[in-house]
Amino acid sequence: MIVGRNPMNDVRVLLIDAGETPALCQTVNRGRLEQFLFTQTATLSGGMDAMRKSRFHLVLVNLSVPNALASESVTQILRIAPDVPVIALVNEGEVTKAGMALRHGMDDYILKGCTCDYLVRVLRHAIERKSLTARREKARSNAAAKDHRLTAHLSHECRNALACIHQFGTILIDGLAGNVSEEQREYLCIMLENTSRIRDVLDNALEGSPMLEAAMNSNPAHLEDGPNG
Amino acid sequence: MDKAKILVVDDNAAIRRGLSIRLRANGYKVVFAGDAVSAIAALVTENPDLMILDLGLPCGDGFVVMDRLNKHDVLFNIPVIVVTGRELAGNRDRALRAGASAFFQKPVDDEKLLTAVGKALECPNGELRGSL
Repeated sequence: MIVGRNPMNDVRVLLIDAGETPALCQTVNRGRLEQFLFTQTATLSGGMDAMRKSRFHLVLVNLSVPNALASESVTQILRIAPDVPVIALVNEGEVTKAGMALRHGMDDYILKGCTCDYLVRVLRHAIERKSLTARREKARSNAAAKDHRLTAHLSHECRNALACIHQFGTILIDGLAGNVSEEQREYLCIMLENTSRIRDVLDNALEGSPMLEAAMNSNPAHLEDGPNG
Repeated sequence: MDKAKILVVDDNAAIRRGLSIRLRANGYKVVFAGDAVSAIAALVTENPDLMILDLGLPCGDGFVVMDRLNKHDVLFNIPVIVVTGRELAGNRDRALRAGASAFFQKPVDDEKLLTAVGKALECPNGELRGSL
């Protein structure tokens, strides 16, 4: 047992590789406090089953595995665990394949012949980057939801207040609350014209606001629950 | 001929009062509710000819009221006109899909509202739904 090792820091890696465990993966843990715990499956479908049953920090896919480069394979993996980085494991001279893997959504690639230190750096970096991306996405989504609540609140408060001014202004001007002199009518008309002006400003500011559109586009599901209005 | 009875549902008492004055001046009988639960109860007890419904209400919202109305064996054909302070996006289409005859944002133009009320009362079985 390595002194000072904290199992909480262990990194669980799913290795999808039909061949023997790459030498790199066998030697990577030597002398390290953090341990990379590899679970190997020979096929993509086996890997996906493993992902459904267990939680991994990272998936390492040998691109020689059948269908590993099919975009739907990557999509399926990402669907099962969208917050888990997927890294392609490629042989020397397979950089073209690696590029394709990145285009299909994999997070990075490493060459089988790389050093253990390099492997560790790539794995750590992928995990941190994926985690950061998820946190950023969550923060962006929360900000959009907050913006929408603010917009909805403004719409509710301003429109209700305007509705009251408009309603009672028209009640007065139409004589429903008693006779109105010509001078009073003139003043009421000025009041109502300005009510309309404020309404136009509100329509332009709130209904066409980039803030609202961004919020609607980002997460329509939670926008159904607006405030009173 | 009896006056048509309109249920006005809004949590803002001033708006209820203003709408009431306007509707009564145009020959309608008006009853009120200030929240979703009272609105559903009033639909049953008052059996109105039409409902003017705010969307944002305490104890539920206007969509809950419309959902209950649509599921009711007898009351489902009461026309609904939505008058709300909520934004158009996400609310207008949803309200019309839920069966509202018309959708207005506050402040609503009196003439347009009264025209919509008149048309909806002429076609109480929902022929106008979604057309305004």
